[in-house]
Amino acid sequence: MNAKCLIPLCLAGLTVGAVAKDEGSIEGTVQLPPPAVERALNQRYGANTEAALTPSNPPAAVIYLEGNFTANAKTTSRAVAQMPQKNMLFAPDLIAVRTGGAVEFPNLDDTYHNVFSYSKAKRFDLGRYRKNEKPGTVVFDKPGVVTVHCEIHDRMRGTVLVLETPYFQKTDSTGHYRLDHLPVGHFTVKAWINEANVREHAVDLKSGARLQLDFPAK
Amino acid sequence: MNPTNPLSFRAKLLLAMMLIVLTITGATVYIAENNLRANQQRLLNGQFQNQLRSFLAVQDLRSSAVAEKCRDVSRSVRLRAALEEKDVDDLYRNALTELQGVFNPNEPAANDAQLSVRASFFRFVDVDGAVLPAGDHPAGNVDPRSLEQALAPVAFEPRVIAEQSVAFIAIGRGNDPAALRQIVLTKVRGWNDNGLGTLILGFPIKQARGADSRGAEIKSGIWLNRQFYIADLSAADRHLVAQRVQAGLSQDAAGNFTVDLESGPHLIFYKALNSQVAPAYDVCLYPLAPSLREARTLRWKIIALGAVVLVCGFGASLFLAKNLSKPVDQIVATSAENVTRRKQAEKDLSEVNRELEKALVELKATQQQVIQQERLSALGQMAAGIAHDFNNTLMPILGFADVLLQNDAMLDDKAETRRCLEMLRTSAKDASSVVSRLREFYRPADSDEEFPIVDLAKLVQQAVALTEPKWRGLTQARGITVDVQTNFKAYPIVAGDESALREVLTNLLFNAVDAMPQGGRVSLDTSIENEYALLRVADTGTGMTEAVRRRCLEPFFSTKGEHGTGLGLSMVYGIVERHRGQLEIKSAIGKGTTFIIRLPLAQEMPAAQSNREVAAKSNSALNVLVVDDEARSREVLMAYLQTDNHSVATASSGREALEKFRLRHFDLVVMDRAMPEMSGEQTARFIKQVNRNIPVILLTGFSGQLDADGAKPTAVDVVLNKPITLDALRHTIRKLVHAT
Repeated sequence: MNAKCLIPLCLAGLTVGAVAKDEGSIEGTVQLPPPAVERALNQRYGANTEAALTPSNPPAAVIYLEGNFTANAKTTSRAVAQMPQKNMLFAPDLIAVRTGGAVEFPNLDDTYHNVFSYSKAKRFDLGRYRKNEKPGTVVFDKPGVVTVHCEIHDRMRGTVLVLETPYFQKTDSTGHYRLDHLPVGHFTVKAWINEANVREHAVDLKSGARLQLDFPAK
Repeated sequence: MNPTNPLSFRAKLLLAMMLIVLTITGATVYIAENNLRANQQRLLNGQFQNQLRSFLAVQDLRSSAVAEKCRDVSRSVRLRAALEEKDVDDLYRNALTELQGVFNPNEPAANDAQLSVRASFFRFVDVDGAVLPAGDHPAGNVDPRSLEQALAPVAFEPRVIAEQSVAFIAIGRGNDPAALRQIVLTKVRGWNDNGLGTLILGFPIKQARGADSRGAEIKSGIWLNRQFYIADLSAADRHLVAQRVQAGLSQDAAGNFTVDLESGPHLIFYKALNSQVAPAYDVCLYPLAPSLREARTLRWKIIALGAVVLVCGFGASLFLAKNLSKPVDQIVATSAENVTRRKQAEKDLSEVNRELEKALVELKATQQQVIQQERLSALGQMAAGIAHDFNNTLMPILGFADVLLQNDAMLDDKAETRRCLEMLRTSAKDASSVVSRLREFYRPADSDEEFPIVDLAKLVQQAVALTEPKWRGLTQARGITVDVQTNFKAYPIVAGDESALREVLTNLLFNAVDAMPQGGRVSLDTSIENEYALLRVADTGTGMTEAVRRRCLEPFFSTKGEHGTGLGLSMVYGIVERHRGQLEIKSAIGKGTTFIIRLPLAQEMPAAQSNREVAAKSNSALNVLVVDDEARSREVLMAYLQTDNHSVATASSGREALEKFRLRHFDLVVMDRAMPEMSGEQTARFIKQVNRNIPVILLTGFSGQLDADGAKPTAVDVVLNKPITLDALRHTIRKLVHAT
């Protein structure tokens, strides 16, 4: 994981409010890159017309908290995450799971898809499958970035962010996020926008603190 | 005559023929060899092109078969994913699957073009140009170190290489063409269009080997990166060819040259191969030895043929020279003789010419002498003639003067007196012209001479009247009848000297009368014909023989014996000539003679003549100085001038004239030419020194004019001949004064 840039603290506002027990929360906005649809449209005259015709996913980032968590750390639900293929796209094309989490890759399109990954964190190959076929779940047991491809559709590309922390959240399409029920202590907040753009910021979470943390554009 | 001439001609002929044969032989050898060489070159070039075409065809086939496949491979999602993850194992494993049908690692250096379409190795190169090792995967047996070295000069900048490129590389050291590979480089791009690396497919190069039509072995190789890859060629030769190709590269992508290799001379063709990364050339070596051998044989054949032709030509020349030279010898001999003869003739001719010229000069001199003598004797006769003519004119003067003096009644009759006086004046004028007519012999027609306007018909009437005493008296005395008729068909106006023309008429009338001893008729006609006034004087007399007619105009030729002077008709001729006229004589023995005189018609209107009196009156009175040593002349001049109201001063000598001139102002000087002490010309010069603008009239007697040859002295404005008439003086003064 290459988190190359450490941006200076940029707090738009730091509000301390009364929160129950020893919990804190962080709220803010990540400045997202422009939506991918523009790029896809711009490529209309390129070699791959399929991509141009395909609506793209809205941009999003993953915000997570890194640090040493005590035993009382939150245990996330063991629910199986999903990265379906729809309209020749992974939708969503970015999900985050905790190490050991399982992900399903259902095919919602009427054509074949063949989801595989050569990433170091997880190599898998689901083979070719159609709608209604169950290729089975993939368990991501090592933290890291796993890029998933469809062998048939070269424009399809998805990212599964495998995180060791239980505290993470995907922003909405405007870049807004809110991490609740955070433990108290000294941590690092990371914003994963893409492989080349991971921001981080150190925070000191006090009991009941509500922090405002924005990640503006570089 | 030159005895060596025929010999040298023969030798020259022989030499010329030999030269021609030699030249033709030489030219044939030259052209044949050139043709052979050109043909050979064309043939070899064609062979090279064919070979190259087949070589390139294989490449093209390969390229088109491989290109699409490579592009597909480079788009394979798995390959891209593997390359993205730098997972070499996955990469080569997947690539082997993808490249099925394009890649065959076990392919030998096959001769089958179909097989050579398959690559013998493939490798991936990452973005930084490092060759990704194939590991245990069968990606072709290439020494990784050698491959790395071979790819290094290909300049592995991913940016430089296009989407797909073709290049040549040599793997390992040495100059074996087996080390050469043609490689196809295809870029692999990621999901983001970012460069992930390059796929390299390597193909063995199959070089067509052949033999030309003569069985000579053709070698071919590839020039790459300053090295020449070819089998079976010594290192030195290889090096030489490599250098020569290198030298040619800067000029052209293709070319040929001849080079002397250890194995003999070779013709070398080269052509650039499609190589986007490093330049590569296909090079073919054609041994020239067989063609040279062939050329040598041909040359000898042609030379032998030339020799045969030369020998034949020699024989023929000898034969021809001998036969041809015979007539030529004769021609030469004859022509030599001719030349000598002609020269002699020319010499003789020029001598004769010289003598003739000398004779001509002598003849001219003699002629001049004769003419001179003739002229001297003529002068004597002329004096007699003048005396005769002068007497003729004196006759009416004396006659009419006597009549008037002795007949009081007639004298009282003013009209009659006037008529007689006019007769007197006319005769006196003619007398003066008799004296002056000698000039006609010395002075030719003067182009500057201006004549007054004359009525020809009036002149005829006058002439008839003047001569009346003669023909009437004669005829009455002899008892014969001479009838004189005038017939004026026209009244032509001519420019002429009145008395001279009258002289013509009287002469012709007298002649006519003399020609009619038995009486007859003389008719005088005037008419106008074209631009000329025509005067015809015809008699019915004895006529002239042809000989006489031809000579009658010569001076001193006369048929009248003691009575004739021989000057009459010659004078007539002189006067007519002076008036730019023509004289024609028609005569027949026993029938009579006709003189036809043509005079040019006057350009001016006769009105110019009639204003004479008016002009005289309008003249303003002048101060005139008259200089003459003779008192009578002075008096006449004074009388003339005073008639026109001029005031006159006189001087009897040049000296006196100058004194008077200095004291008084004069408008005009009238001066005699011949004066003692100071002549008229001298005086005129002095006068002109005092006043350059004063007009000077010089009067001259006939004798003075004779030796002056009619030339006018510079200081004098007008020269008038004595005796002068009032009209002539008036006319001159008017012209002078009006002019100044």
